Formats: sequence, C-alpha cells, structure tokens
Amino acid sequence: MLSMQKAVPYIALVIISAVWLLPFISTIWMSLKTNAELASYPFWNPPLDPIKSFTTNILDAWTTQRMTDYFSNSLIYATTGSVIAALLASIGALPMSRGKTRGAELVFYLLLFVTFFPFQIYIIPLLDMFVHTGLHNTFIGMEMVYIAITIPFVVFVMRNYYTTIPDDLEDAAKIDGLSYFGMYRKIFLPLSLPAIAVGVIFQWIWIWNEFLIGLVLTHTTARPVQVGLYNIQGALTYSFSTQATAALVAAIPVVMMFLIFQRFITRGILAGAVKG
Amino acid sequence: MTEEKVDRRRYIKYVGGAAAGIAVGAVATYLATRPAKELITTTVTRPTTQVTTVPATPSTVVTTATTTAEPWGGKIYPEIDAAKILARYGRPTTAEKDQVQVNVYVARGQTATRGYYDIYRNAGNPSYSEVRNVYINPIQYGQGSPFAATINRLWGTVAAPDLTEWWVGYPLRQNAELGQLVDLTEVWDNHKDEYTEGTRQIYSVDGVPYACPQITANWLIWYNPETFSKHGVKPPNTWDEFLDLLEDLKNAGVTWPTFMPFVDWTGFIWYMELLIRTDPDFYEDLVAGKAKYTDPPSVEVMEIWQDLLKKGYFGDLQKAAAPGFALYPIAPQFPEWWLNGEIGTLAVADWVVSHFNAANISTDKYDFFVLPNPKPEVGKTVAVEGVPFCAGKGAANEEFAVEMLDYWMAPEIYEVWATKVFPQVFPNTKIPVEKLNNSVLEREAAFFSEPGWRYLTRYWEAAPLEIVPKAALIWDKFAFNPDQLDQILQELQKLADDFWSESSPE
Amino acid sequence: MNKEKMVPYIFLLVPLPITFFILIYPALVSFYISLTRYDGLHPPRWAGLDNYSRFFSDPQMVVDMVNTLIWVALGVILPFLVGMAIAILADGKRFEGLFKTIVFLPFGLSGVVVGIMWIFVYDPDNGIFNIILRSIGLDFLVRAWLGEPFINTFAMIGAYIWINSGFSLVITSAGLRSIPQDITDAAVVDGLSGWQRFRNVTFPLLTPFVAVIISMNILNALKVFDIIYVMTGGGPFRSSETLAVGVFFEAFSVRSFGYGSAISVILFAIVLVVSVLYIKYSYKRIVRY
Repeated sequence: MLSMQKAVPYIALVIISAVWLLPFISTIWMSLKTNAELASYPFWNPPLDPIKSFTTNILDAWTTQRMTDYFSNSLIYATTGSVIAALLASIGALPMSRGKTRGAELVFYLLLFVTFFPFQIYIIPLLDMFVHTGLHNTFIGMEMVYIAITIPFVVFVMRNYYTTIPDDLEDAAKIDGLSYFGMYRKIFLPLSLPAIAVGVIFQWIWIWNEFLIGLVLTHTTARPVQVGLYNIQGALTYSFSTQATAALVAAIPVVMMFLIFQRFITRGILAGAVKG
Repeated sequence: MTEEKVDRRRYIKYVGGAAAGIAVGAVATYLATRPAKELITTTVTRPTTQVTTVPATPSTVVTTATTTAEPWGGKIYPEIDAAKILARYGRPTTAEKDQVQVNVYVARGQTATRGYYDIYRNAGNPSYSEVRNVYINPIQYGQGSPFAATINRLWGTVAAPDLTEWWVGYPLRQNAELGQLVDLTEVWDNHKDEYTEGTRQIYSVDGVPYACPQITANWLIWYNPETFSKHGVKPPNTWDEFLDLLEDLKNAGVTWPTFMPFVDWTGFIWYMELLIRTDPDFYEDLVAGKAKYTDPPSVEVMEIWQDLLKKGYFGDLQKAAAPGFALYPIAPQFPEWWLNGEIGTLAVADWVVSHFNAANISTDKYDFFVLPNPKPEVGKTVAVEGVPFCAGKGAANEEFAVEMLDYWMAPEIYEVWATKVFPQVFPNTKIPVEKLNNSVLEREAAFFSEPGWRYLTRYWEAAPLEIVPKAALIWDKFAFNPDQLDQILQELQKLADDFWSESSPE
Repeated sequence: MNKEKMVPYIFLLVPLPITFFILIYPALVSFYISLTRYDGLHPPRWAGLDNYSRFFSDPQMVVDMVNTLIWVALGVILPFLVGMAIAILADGKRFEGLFKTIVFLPFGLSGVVVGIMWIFVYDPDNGIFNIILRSIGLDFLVRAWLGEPFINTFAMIGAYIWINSGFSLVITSAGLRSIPQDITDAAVVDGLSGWQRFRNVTFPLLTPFVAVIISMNILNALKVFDIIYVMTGGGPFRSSETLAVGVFFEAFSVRSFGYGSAISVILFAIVLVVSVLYIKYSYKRIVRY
C-alpha cells in the first residue's frame, strides 16, 4: 500500500510527464481543427468535426504544399545516407582499432577535429561549390553532404566496438589464410552489426531532422522534409492547423524510430559518452 | 597495442604529410570547382544623374461593378488564334525532341506555391505551348531560402536562369551593370503603345529596360469599411484627419489603430511613407547616397513617426511581432483580426487583395486610401513596388525566354494574369479595367489614372541591398524604443557611410 | 610493396575523399572568405583582418555574444539539472521506462518540428502556456512570449530544455544503475540522509557521466540554429540572435559573405577553446574508483 511519502515521487513524475506531453497534445489538438475554427472558438472547445478537419489539413499539406515530395526525398536521404555512411565508416574504422596501421590515429583525430566545425562554416562555401559544379539541388549533392557529415560519429562508434573484438579472432583469421578484406567481411562486419545498427539509426534520425543545409542547398525538387515544413508558412494564407498537421506528419517517422529502436538509441548515446 | 612513447619525428612526419595531402587536395578541388563559364564582367558606365520616374499618363474607363473577385481556377482563357502566334513568332518547333523548357525561377511566397504559371501552358486555343512547343518550367523557391544568393551565382554562367523573378531598382542596376541581364528594349518597343513611359522607367536602368512587369503594386493604407462604420469614422483627407482617425480608433479600443508587425523587413515602410510625403526629392537623394539620414528632413520624419509611436497608435507591438508575421499580412490570425475589427488601418501594397481573396474576405470588407501628406504642399506621391521578370544573358534558352516575355506582355495574356491569377492594378493600358471584376481594384485604377501622380521606387529596391535589410531592422528597433531617436539615426547613418564610402561594392 | 599490406591503408583512406570534399575543403575556403569582402555577385576582394576587427566593434555582435552565452549557460545547466532530477525521481520506480520514454521522446524531434510546436504553445491568445497562466490566476504574466525582444530568448530556452532533458536523463540513469548497490547500502548503514547520500556518494560517482553530459550540451548549445530560426528568426530586430544565427543573417540577408564567414570562424574558435578547456578541467575533476 503506497504511503503518502512514497506516493510523492509518483505524483511528481505524473505531473512532469503531463507537462512534457502538453506540446504534443496541443499540436494534435490543433490539427483536429480547421483554421477558421481556431479563430472563432476558444482553444479548449472540442473540435467540431475532428476527422473531417484532420483529413482536410492532411490533404492540404500533402497536395498543395507538396509534402509528399519532401517526405520521400527525406526518406531517400535518411535511408541511403545512413547506410552508406555506416558502411564507409565501418571500413575506415577497422585499421584505427587494430593498432597495427601507421597513421590510423592521425586519421581518427582528423575526423574528431572535423566535428568541431559548426555547420555555419560549411554553408557559404558549399553553396558556391555546389552551384559551380552543378550539384546544387541534386540528390547526389545532398547525399554527399549528409554522408560526409554523418561518417565521423559512426567511425567513433565502430572503432570503440571493434576494439572489443579480441585479437585471437584476427590471428585465427590469418591462420585460415583470410585476406584483410576477407577478415573484415567475414568476421568484423557480422560481429559488429549491433554497432552498425546504432550508427544507422542515429544518423537516420539526424539526417531526417536536418534543416540548415537543406535550406541552403536545395529548392523544390531535392528539398528535405524539414525545409518543406518550414516553408508551409510561405503560402498565401498561413494556416496554423495545416502546419500543425504537417509537423506531426514530419515527426511521425522519427517518433516511430525512436520508440521501436529505443534501446539502440540509448546504447548509442552511452557509447558516444563512454568514449570521452 | 600502440607504443607508449611518442615517436616525435614520426609524428611530425605524419602531420606534415597530412597537411601536404590536404594542401594538394585543396588546390585540386579548387581547380575542379571553378564555374563552367566565368562571370561576365563587362560593365556599363554609370551616369552621374539619377533618373526620376515620369508620372503615368491616364488609363482607361472605370466601371462601378461591385461583384467579388473570382477565385483563381475559373477556366477563362483568352481565345488566341494559332495563326496569330505563328505570325508573331515564326515557325513552330513541333518536334518532340525540339521541345523547349524555359526555366523560370520564382521566390515570393504567394507566387511560388500555386500553379500560377499554368497560364502559359493553357492560355489560348490551341495554347502557345502547344503551338510553339515551348513550355514553362517553374522552379519554385520558398520564402526565406537563399534565393538571391543562389541566383547571383548563376548569372553569367552556362547555368544562368532563363527567366527569374527579381527586383527592380538597385539590384536590377547591379546585375545590369555586370552585363548579366538581357537587354529587353526590343520587347518593350513591341508593346510601345500598351505600356506607359512611367511603367517602362520602373523596369529600366538608366532608360534601358532589363525587366518585364509581373506584379506592379502601389503602397497604400487599407482599412475595413465595416470597422470604420462601427466606430463612426471615415477615411481621412488631410494629415490632421488621419491623426484624429487614429485617436478615435485608439479610444474605441481597437487593438491596432494601425497594424505593423515590426519584425524583419517591415521596418522601413513607415519611414518611407512619411518621407515621400514630406520631401520626395530628399528621398531620392537619400537612397542614392547623396543625403544623410541625419539631415533635417529625415529627422523631421522620424519625429512624426516617434509621435505616432508614443501615442500608442501602433498598438500591441509584441503581439504583432510573433512568429509568422514577418510575412505579414500572412499571419494565421490576420483574417480573424481583420474581420473582428481589431485592425484599424494597415499600410501595405495592393497585393494584399490576393490575400483577402484567399481568406474569402469580400470587397465590401476592405478598401484603401492614400496616406495624406503631413505636408500638403507636396504633390501626389506613391511608392511603387515592381516585381519583374528578368532574362539571364547566356542562358541556355535565352531567345525563347525573351519570346516568352514578349508573349506575356501582350494584352490577351497579361489580362489573364493581372485580373484572374494575381489581381492587381495592371500597367497594360490596353486591357479594360472592368476585367478586374473587383470594385476596390477598379477604384484604385481610376484613382491613379488621374494625372499628377509621382511614382517613387520603394525603399527596399531603391536603396542598396547592403543597407536595406539592416536599416529595416534598425527601424524595427526604433519602433520598440521610440526614445532612442538620435541613436537610431546615428546607427543608420553609420550604416550608410560604411557602404557609400567605398567606391566599389563588397 | 606487398599488396596485402596496402589494404589496411586503403581501408583507412576510404572515408577520406568525401570527408575532404565536404568537410575539410569548405572549411578552408571559409577561412579564406573570411579574409575577403564578398557579396556573392562580384569576385571576392581581399580585405585582410577587416572582418574580424569589424566583429569586435559591432554592437550587434555584442548582442549575439550575450545571447550565445545565455544559451550556453542555461542550455547546459538547466536540461542537465532537470534530467538528473527526473532520473533520480524515477530510479527504481514502477513505470520507470514509461516516464523516461515520455521525457526522452522530444530528443528525437527536429528543431523545426519543436519550433513549430512551441510557437503554438507560446501563442498569445490560443497557446497552452498562456491559457494555463490565465487559469491559475497569473494573468499578469500573460504576454506575447515570442514577440518580446530579449525575453523570447528565455522562452526558446524553455523549448530547448524540453528537448534536451531527456539526454541528461538517459545518461544519468545509466550512471545511477552503474553504482554498485553495496556502496549505497553502506551509506545508508552509516546513517547518511538522502541528501547527504546524494552529495557525498552518488554524485561523485556520477561525475564521469556528468562530464559527458555537460560537454555534449555545451557543443550543442553553441550550435543551436533550427529552433531559433523557426521560432523567432533572431527575434524582433535581431534581439534574440546568437552567433550561429548571425552567420546566416549576415551571409544571406545582407550578402556580406566575408563577414558571415568571419563570424563562423570565430564561432569555431569558441567551440575549440571551450572544448579544450573543458577536457582539461574535467579530466582532473572526474572521480575514478
């Protein structure tokens, strides 16, 4: 039986959770109403026709505002970008973890150093470079940027993980006559799938959420979803309800990833933490 | 497995090797990323005198129809003969492989989100696109994206824009002087008797037109007649009447006797409006850098404005400065506030009509007046915002782009654009005004058809781009801190000095 | 040379070309541009250290620095405290996982989505924040939270706390779980009260985790862009602008690319200095046992 003192932390937790959920609830609430309704009735008035309003908002965002295009763009960027980055990173991290390759430490520190640069340093030159080489507003250009930015983090994760793989496996592989690449392909890669999963999921979420670079380097065709969401403000009438709905839609994939892969994500955070 | 002792020399060797590798890579990348064709840097000599705009000559008859504007989507296209198109533009390029896509870059929020340019595809029977096999491909940037930065890097290269939405005034001059824009004299000469000389001047640099009109907007004061009648006030004819109007609205509890969100770019509007109505010659000198913000006419305007601010006529500034309002009047609550009578007056260009249409606000709920002059002896002045199309020199489809501009300016096509798609008081004099089907705009057309109007380029286009956005923000700050008048003027002048003191641009 | 011996080196080099092309070369170009005057239209003109001296005499940059400092100070400490408090509260309770998920969930959202959600929260008439204030009788506090110069920074930091507390929460939770039970039991036996236990036993053992949280928070707070850009765009007349947003404004609104690059270089220098100082400082303070 819960005594009063024991109940206090629970009450506090419930209140905190409620507060934390409020912005979500408020946004969902707004997406269930139309703009006209928001204007005429008080906020807490129950939605007049939630399903119809919601579908209107969704259709508006989806068609007029072209969220479909942006959504699929981002899906492509996030999925292919994170997978390719993880592959490249897993390749590059291997020599760093074995300690037998000269210069490996240097490359590692170089990648570490590169993560100190704020993105603002990149946007101006990248715009110039991309426009001059015709990569502006192309899938390839955006993919390149996303892969380049997400490689360092996955390299850290992979390197840490690789160091936990014992040397005897490597020696055994040598005895069996495997080449370096074969060793990578048959031993390290399969064993490190959890780490790769962490890397892919983390970077999938990061690429999906990315805004600044998409803002500068694209216009409509290659535009990612967050920039599209931001630009919903720019229409002839600015509709709170449409924007709320679009925000929810843009957030759903990430929320799903978060909930399904929560363990991986916390593991990834801790992995990144322990490296310190 | 690494050695504990750091091998110094080996370490230096590695770092040196890495640095060398980076240097080599940098040079290689630099060479590989040069633009495909260098910027054309032929310059056009800049004359020393500023060309002032010539007053527009009267246009056509006004009707008094009061039907509400038709929403875009009504399929009314002009009946244009295929023969006429052929006669004008020559043999068609009907082969599939010869199909030409003219790229049109558009950036302003409204025009970027809807199918405005379908008019090209569909206008006529058969349509121009069908006859000529030339299609428009709109490339739509959103609000707030680095549109100008990107386009500026495209001019003069092989990827130059065929057509792009741009600005008149100073930006137009900059690009024209660099030889990046196509000279459109021929196009304007083709339509010589349709457009007035005044219009032509707006879209020209030193008499040579480099742009074609898309949206020509006059800056006015708008109000809701229902709100006015509710509070028993009328549109003012003199400055004192305007002050009384604001006072009455304030006393009646209207949240914003005059609504102006001082966020981002809007800061210059009131300064400009007041200045062109007290000393328009000074205004023209000011934007050209020949006068100072600290000179007496400017100080006088600031004092008038300060007075309005201190009397609270601008209402609740914080509430108006909330997000989304930088794109005013596209704030979400704007229709609600307008209809509820919380907004007394609104200083904005006549493109606000398209916003009213989109919000289903009918013509009996909006109307305009021109801000009365604080100095009555100053004649009739109005600030004009020109939103043009420009053609890039050296673009892939340059000749077709120019052809499209010529086609666009023809009365039949321009009529559809300026009356149905983006209602505005259009500059093409051959189109009868009643085609607008909007009583407010028709009244405006009649209003400005009277002689004696002096048109001044809006501050945002007239003054240099290095000054304008920052100046607007400094004025925003002034709105929130009206006591800092002197400081504000100093800041403005410093900004201007920094720019004008150098003979060549940044 | 033995081909097989080359393979590890090739492996090492695989991620480098793209890293170079996107991350290293543009950074070098940025350094170069910061030494020029460049408006995106005319070719860059050499200007030496003009942009940097301009930075130090620009009053707007003072505002930017102050705002950046506020963001770093509050954006590092507050999410950490809130996260840790929740971690301690929830430690070992039933439904712990549920509570933690709820608090952690906003961490995965993008800056744009969070910004938009919180615009709705802070809306003067219809926003939940003001509605709650009114309903508990604090009417006088009701205001346009995002429209008021300077105060809106704090409003935005509120949204930031909402996002980042989850991060601290997760790490602190893991840290708490890593403390061996016997140590806490010993502390109880020794008669230490809850607070004393926390101060003398738990917290010192958490220091490695705390160090990580603080360092990540500092870097993130320095680079915040999306939220600020979406919610206020830098605030009425740039009053809520930080250095990160300032780069964007100077480059794309005013076309002073040289000056914008200089600001980004200075921001980078700050990140570097803070990180190095922090590593040195925390290295000594972390309790190891």
